[in-house]
Amino acid sequence: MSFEPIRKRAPARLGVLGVLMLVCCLGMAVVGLLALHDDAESDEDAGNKIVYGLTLNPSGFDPHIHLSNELGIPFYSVYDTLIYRHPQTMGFVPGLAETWTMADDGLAWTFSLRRDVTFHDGTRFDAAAVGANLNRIMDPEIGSQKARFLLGPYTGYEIVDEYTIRLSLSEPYAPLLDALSQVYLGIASPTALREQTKNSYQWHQVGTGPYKLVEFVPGDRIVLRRNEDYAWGPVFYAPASDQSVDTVEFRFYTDPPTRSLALEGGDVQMIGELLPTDAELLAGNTALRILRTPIAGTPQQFFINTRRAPTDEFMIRQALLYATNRTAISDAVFQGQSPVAYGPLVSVTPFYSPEVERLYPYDTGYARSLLEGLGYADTDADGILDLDGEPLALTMVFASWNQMADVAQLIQSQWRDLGIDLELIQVPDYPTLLEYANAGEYNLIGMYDFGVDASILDQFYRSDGARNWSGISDPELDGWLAEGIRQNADDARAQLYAAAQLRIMEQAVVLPIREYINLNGTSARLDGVIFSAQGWWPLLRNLQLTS
Amino acid sequence: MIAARTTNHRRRVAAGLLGLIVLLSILAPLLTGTDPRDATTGAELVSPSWQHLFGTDLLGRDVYSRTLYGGRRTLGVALLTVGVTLLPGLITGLAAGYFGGWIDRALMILMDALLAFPALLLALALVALLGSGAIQIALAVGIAGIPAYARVTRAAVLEARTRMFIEAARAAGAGPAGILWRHVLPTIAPPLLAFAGVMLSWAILNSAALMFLGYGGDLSAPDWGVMLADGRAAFRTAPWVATAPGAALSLTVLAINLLAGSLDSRPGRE
Amino acid sequence: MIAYALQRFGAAILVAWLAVSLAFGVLRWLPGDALDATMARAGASDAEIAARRLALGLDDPVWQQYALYLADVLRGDLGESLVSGQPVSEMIAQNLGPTAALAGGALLVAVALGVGLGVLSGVGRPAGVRYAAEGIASLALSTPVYWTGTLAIYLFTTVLDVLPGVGGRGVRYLILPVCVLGFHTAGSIARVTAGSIRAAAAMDFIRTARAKGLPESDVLDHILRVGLLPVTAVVALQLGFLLGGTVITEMIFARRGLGKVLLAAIDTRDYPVIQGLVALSAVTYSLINALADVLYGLIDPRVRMDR
Repeated sequence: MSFEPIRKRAPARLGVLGVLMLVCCLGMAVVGLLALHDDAESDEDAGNKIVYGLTLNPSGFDPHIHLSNELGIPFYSVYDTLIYRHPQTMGFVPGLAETWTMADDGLAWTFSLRRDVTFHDGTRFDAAAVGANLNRIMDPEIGSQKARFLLGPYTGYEIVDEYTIRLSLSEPYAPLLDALSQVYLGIASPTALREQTKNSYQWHQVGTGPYKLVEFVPGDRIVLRRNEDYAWGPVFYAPASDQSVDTVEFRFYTDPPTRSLALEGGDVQMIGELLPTDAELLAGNTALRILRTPIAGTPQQFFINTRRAPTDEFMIRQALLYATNRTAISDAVFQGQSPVAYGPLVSVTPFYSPEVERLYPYDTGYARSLLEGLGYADTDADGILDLDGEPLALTMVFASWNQMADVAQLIQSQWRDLGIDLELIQVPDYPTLLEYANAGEYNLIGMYDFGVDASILDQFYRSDGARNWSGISDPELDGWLAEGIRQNADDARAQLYAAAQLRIMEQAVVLPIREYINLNGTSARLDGVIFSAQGWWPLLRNLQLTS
Repeated sequence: MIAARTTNHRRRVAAGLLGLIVLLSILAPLLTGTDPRDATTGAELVSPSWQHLFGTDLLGRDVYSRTLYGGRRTLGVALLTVGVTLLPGLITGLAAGYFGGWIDRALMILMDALLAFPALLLALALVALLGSGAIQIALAVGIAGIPAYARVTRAAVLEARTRMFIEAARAAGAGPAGILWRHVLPTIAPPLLAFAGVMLSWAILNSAALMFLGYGGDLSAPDWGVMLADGRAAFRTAPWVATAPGAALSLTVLAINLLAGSLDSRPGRE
Repeated sequence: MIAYALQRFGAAILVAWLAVSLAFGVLRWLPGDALDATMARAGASDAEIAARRLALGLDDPVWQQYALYLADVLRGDLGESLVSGQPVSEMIAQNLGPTAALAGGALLVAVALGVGLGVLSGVGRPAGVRYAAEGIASLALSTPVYWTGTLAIYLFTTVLDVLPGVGGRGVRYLILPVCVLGFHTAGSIARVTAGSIRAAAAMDFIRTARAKGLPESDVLDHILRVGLLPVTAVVALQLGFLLGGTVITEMIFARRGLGKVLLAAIDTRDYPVIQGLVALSAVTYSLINALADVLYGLIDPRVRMDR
């Protein structure tokens, strides 16, 4: 070759560099524009603004339909409930209902409602609005996953006058007030319910609460703005001040390791469910606060399936309980920041019975003797016990939330030492978990629920319970639980639930692991951080942003 | 001369490194007495020491043992992935290159259509269909790799076809299968082998990516991708949990890349 | 030239059509009740599922479904999420920006770093520079995003505290993810560049130029002109990798974007969303590659002659 090609390709220099520059310029322009656009869209007239990190992107955010606790974090402040539970005293205080009375036979409750309340869309609040909400919740077509069950033996309502409504029950129901105090029974604008479809309402929710929903981009952000007209809050809501938070933007940090980074970096001013290791690291940071909020209800736990071999055998279930070193799990996975659980309720729940704590101490020797008593032995020397040629193999199903995977792997390791083979199946979300539950394809299944009233046990342990995933069927237990919601006297209920808790553990149908503690982190500039009596939901109204 | 020596030297180093990693993985049971799934109570997040060479993870499992055993699973899945890629890719490429004409055009349009899906996205979509698990990951990533391998095979066949001896063989009355097997394959083996090496490192990175994202099924099974995910959660407290599998993964891929590069270092072949 | 461009785009459209059809085929190959199961998990009632089946035309003949589907795609209608009922095109529109910024920025880093490293490892002097550049390129090739991402966040956010690691919006938050994703991609660009530069350096006319006593800087100039040409074609090919890489990058850096949408859709087996996203990326990828080829043809007339 001669020099010719070089001269011939002289324009190529421009060309090559040109294309590279074109790529770079195009890229730069795209990146710059998009990033600037991103910057611009976040801050305009936001006033006092905080960003709140959500830790789960649940399958739905409609309180009437869905059951995730996460949805209450933003929406507890968008709605008011008829009744509130005082976060400190745990007693019931007026909400949208000023007074309430129970009929002598306990089969009807009459609520007189406030007359000065307006929904965010301008609709007047009255008894008909409450009725419309009740209709929606009970409508089988919307498939309520929680709200409907909270209403228990509710049969219908009657509008006594414009501001009085009467709820009828088929039998006395002590937990009614507790149910009405939860976000799932928040009162939504009947106009909005009518205008939106079942699916689309969750992105356009309208309540009467201290904050309005102004923007909902699924999977990205939920923006709430303070309701300037709000003047009908419960006694424990703070009055508005200069330091009240005007705008709360919720963003998703579903990936646990990113949470502490977001908090430290100042990207969020408040976030829950920090990794325990991170919470320890951040504890020394004076710009931040770590709050450990215990949550009433059931512990992190696994139901043991009594309808599937080999856990249909009582002694095996007992052996599993003895074989689990809960302290080790709490120490390792939760860095000792979460107390060990012993029974079907956690210790901060009213009517908790400490009697359960003496049952099932960690005792591998006893667990082994129970299994040997049944005839289990490792005859083929593979490290797994067997009986009549069948290895002792169990299946455990759980969803990926709350470090369940770590807990499950520790249990797997602990039980293997004893010769029990545990297969772990992790599912991504509640609906998939429900599929496994309905199919009955598990020996253990992880599920828990939160709530202040001990009747939270009903769904799990009544033989006709909606989520009786252990398959327990104990007439006496059924009787106590049924009586527990019928009795209104606290001491009588305490006795019934104490008996129920003990019986549940004696039947060995649940493996409790640890009490749930929400490790919240906030900026030190944020004062007035209080959570509702249910533990999960912050009172946004009380937040104060100091400078 | 110098270039050739460097290449030889590099090949030896790379082969040695890769051999060592494979050997360590295979001999894992001999090199550690600790069960990689065994969580030791009270020994959580222990920093590296004589007892735990690479420390322990959040659950008290020995990271050294998990890294060794993890190599078995990671490399095993990657080999399976390459297997899934190789055979269909080779057959498609051979057929397209050898027969030419409309067969070639039809096959290549199909391959182009597959190639139009970004590989990791295609693998993710396939995992959504197939479900979680090591085999599923190997299938998903393997299928995503087929079009690239088919294209490279075809190009090599086209080059080989132009050579005289094939025409001669055909003139001598040999059938297509015989020609492909006896004449074409041996000619195109070196570049295809080199590209298989490239595919292997690609398979390791991508199957480990799916493991990292949590589609590996068996939760406690040690795997470099899974360990990187575990280690990420505790990186500030215990950087050793992610460092060991991360380094192992990088070294393996590095060695394979060097080896593949030197297998096919004839000039003009880049 | 126009003929070549038309031909190239024609081929790209053919490929895109095939890719979209493939996505359709796979979705139809699913057992029919997979869709029902996804909807049931999302809390839909039997009546709603039946209505959706009707709307999707799942009970029609396959060719009819296919024709409808193609017509929908052409109108930009990618169907609705089985879980939330949100239109897929709307989900894409809401999340396209951040992903495009991430991929675009990463491409920038990859080209700058990759070409730089490639040139240095091709003709860098002294040999030490060459080896160093080659080493960095090899490192980039062998460290995946899910490993460098963790390291980068630890180093730049936790230890040095110079750059924000996760979440957030705006340019500052883009720097780390863009560099991490770009670094890995730079490895393969560097590799191709180095090879091409070396081949150019070995060409006869370069030797002749040297022998004729042309200044070394001019010789280098010639080598670069010839050697960098093929690199432009490779750059577009890297976009496919980048689109895949955004999924993991978005997860690690808690960024919003299409990758996050895809991962969520995979978890809930929301097939229309998966199908829409994957088809979209295939169409984008093949069109961009066609564009790159045409641009390349503009620079180097030989290309269009060859084909």
